[in-house]
Amino acid sequence: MTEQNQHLPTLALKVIEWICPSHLREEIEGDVIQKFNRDNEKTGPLRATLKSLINSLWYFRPSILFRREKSALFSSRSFGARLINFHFNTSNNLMGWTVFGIALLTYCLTLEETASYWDCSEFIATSYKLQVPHPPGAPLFLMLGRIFSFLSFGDSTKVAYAINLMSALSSAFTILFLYWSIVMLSRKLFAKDAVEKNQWLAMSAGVVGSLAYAFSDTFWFSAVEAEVYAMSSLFAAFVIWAMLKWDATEDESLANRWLILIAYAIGLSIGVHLLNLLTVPAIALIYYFKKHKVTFLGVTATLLFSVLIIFAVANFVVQGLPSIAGYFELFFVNTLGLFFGSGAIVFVIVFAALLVLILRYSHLTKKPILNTFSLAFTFVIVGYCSYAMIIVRSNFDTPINENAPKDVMSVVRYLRREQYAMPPLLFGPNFTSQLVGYHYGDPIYIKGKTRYEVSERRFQGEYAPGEEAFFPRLWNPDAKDDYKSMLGLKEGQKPTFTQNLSYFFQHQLGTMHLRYFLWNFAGRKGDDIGADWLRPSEWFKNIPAVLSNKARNNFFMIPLILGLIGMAYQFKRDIKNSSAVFLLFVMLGAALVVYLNAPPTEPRERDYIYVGSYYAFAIWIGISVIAMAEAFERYIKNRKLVVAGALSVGLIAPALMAVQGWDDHDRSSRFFSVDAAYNELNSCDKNGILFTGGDNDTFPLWYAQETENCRTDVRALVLSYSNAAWYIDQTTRQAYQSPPFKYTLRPKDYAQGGPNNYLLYADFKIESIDANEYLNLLAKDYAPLRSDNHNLVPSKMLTIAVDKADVVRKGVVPKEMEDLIVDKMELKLKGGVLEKADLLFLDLLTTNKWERPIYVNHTSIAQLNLDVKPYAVQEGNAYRILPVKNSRKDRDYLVDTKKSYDRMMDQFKYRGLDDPSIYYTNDYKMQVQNQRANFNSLAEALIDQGDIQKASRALNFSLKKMPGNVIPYDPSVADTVSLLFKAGQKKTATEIATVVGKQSIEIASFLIADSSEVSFELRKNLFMLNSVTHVLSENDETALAQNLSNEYDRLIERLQVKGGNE
Amino acid sequence: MAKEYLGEFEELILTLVAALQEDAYGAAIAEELEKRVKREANLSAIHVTLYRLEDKGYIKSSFGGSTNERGGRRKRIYTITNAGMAMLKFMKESRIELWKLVPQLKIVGV
Repeated sequence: MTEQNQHLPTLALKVIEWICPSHLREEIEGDVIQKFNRDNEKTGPLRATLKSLINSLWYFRPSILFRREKSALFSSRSFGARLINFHFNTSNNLMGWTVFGIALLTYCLTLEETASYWDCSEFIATSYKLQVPHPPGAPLFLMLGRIFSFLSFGDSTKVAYAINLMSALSSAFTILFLYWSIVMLSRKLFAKDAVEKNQWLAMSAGVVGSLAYAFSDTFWFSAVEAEVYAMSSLFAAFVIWAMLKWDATEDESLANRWLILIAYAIGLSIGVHLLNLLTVPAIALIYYFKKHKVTFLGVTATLLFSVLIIFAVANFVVQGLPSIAGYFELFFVNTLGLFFGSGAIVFVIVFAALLVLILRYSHLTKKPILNTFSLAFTFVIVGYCSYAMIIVRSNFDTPINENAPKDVMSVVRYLRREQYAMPPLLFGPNFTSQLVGYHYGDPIYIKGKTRYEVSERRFQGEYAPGEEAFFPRLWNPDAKDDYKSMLGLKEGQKPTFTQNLSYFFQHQLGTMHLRYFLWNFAGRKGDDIGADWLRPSEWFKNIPAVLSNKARNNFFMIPLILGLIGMAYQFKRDIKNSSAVFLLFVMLGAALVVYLNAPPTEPRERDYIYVGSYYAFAIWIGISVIAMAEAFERYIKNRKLVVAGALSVGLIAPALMAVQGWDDHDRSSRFFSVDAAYNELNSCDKNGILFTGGDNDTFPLWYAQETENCRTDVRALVLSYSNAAWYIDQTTRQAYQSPPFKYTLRPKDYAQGGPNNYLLYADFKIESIDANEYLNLLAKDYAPLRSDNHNLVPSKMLTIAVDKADVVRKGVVPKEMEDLIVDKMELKLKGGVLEKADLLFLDLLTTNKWERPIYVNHTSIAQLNLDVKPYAVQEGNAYRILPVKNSRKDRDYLVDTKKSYDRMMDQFKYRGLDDPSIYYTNDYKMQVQNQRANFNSLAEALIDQGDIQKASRALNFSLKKMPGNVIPYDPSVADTVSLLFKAGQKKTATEIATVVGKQSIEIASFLIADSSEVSFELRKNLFMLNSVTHVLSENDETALAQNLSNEYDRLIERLQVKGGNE
Repeated sequence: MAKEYLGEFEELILTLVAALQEDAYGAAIAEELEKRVKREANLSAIHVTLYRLEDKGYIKSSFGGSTNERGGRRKRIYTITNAGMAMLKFMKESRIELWKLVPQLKIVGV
């Protein structure tokens, strides 16, 4: 009878393993199993199992927990001494849970209380209502997020906090597994007989390394917001820990179970983030070292094999399987004429049968390796099945349903992330390469009435021979100006291979990778975009208080140095495991840099991508404790003193990181990311349609609507999505209180790959064309407008006729603007092209005949290819398109002062913007600048109308809600000062001007002395100083103006002298 | 160190260790306890008692063979030490001494 076919009280044994010291375990386990078997015969398995479990719990008592091995028993019998020496497993577990507790507490105290910027608000909205986020989705994250959202107990304003809590918990568990992994790796550094003796040292290493990671910049950042990176890190940490457990398990069949668990975790993690796959090479290496004799060839083969596994999972499982299902589906539906989904069903049955057959075969023929691997593969698939959620929910037509992956063909596109352009990797064009044509590939199918129809074909640019090069790093034509200024290229000059490489090393590896790494372990200069790491020359610099930045963190490079020591030590002592850790470090760091092939500028800092490589480095920080102990041993005899000394030195790293990092990771009481969204929605009239620019600007609006149920009558429409047929299709449905949209054009005119994807201007010698007439022609497939299956724009001017009487009757135009109503609106083409989104905008504007209010915001108005600015009327923070024309050149926009005033003063929220203890990043500062500018234009319009009192009230309100001591004054302040003068608030105006002048001078003179570079910050402050000076002299504050003007001249002089010397 | 005494359960276990000889290990003791004294004790209680007796020096232990029934785990066989034997004897004698003090009354009705 072997263990496999014998019943074991598994749970009880688990409890015993957990509780009992290892020297007692064999005996106790044996007795428990024996008793279980006898009970089993007598009373049956159920009662026997229960009894053994209850019995096992009774082992949880001090005399078992603290029992030492017999030999040591009589040396010290006091309880205290026993406590210190009590068993390794128990103390190791307790210590793990202690670091877990520290991490969890930290993250809870610094947790974002609402939806953060970027994708977080989208993830919260889609978790809360199980909707479909942008590809490739994160279904497991969403479903778990949904469970966490229950912790809000019905208070929808607490949902964000509850889902953020999931990240905090995931991150704390990551720290737990990191701790255990470091301890396991540390124990391998000692000789077999010295492991017991060095238990406390191994645990110290674990504490130092895991806490350093817990307080590291990037990891902490992701731990307190609802992004997928925290949970993704947890899966990576778990997988690595599980592999070390596998390594430590002697019993072959038990060990294989760890492998299967790892496969399942990897499968599940696909439903969070694919990043986790990059741990595979390290895992494969650990496997190889245990199973085979080490040879160079073997290691190479293992690495190649592991890369193969990554591609197998990423390409075959994630994309390939759905693609094959797609072929089945096409064959069954289009060729055989069966119902939709028939091909997919047949594929699933065939595939499942195949898996079962292999499993059965390997089991019957007793092939353990085949069995383990096919089981592992099955579990990857099982984990991957979380994607069913995306398909199921998409078919419920959820309000957020990005790319609408409802049928097999669209799911395939969703999973293959087809909307994102992939940068070339090994061979491809440079940014200067000229296209000579397109290569059309396989067709894109969309679901028709009874069969799938070809909408368009996938295409790739074709380049003349010699235009493509090896390892192209300078590939993005959109970034050509940045490339040129970085590399000093002239117009039309092609970059050389050396320049390519220098960009790779300096920018991609240096600025966009090494800099982030050093942020985490050396220190960080601040939170401005592009902020440098804190070089030693910066350590003791006296920064003026006005320039102080909470994100300036100085670790004196201590974590970095410790990590390097640990790395060197591990390489010396344990080449095998250090190579595995190194592989983690490289795969999750530099290898990603190569793969992602980043463009020169990014909208935000991308350090979060590389968080996994910092994980590897934290292992080394931990191991440095052992290296230090070994060094101390030479001078100090007392063993305990040695361990305590190494631990205390090691703890300096996490302690510094915690102390320095706390203020800039503390996100508590910060709400403006969501308040700004609330304000934008509340700028709109009932049933409004609000065009927004990018999706990242829109996610907070979605959050506010979906989660906090705010203004669900308003429809926020992402302009860039509006080029997609699936998105337009969704506007024809009710969304909460927002009715469906009415269009003149038919759905087929908006179809993907239809004639209106891209409408080029062609000179038909027509001065202008009526928009309504134009749309009707398009809807009639009017042949003269066609060229190569594409429609054209026949004029650079599109007009919309206005029925004045109707407009007045409907009351959409404010009374004071009625004389500004035009007979026809003239919308000029900005460039030579209209996109589908512009067409949609035009269609809405003409078809709705002013019944539904249509708004744009400051980003979408810039992105539209039609110049609507003259007809945009500010209402709060949004601009409504109305048939009135702003003819004043000195005013950017018309302002509906009544609506704006009421909304901005009474309805808008500005929580916490006057609280100096709250930490605000640039994202907030930019948004506050917009808000201040909107107050300025409101006040200006009020002054134009002669309502000085209200103008003055609005300005003071703005200054009170968003004071300069919390969010520093920005370039909008000069206007504020000028308007204060006009509103008769002379005292406030000069006060603010004095403060701004003084601060700008202080900052500018520091920056000029500090660096030869003319930074954005310097420019901004000189601009503010100069513009405020102008305002002062215009308003007869000559003394103050003269004073500031002199300072300004002096600064410019210093700058020129410096520039001249360079 | 003051003279140690045994608790009732300790005494039972010590006696069983002496009685079972080469076959005295946790599960077997539990079984005998159930069979002979009709007492169902938790294994954990037996183990703790065994350890306490071992700490007091009345028994000693060594690993024995493993069986399939035990999932391949070895038994820890306990044997009584001289000190243990002396303790048992002392306890037995003192019990008998005490017993003698009880008046030999007939049970009513018999």
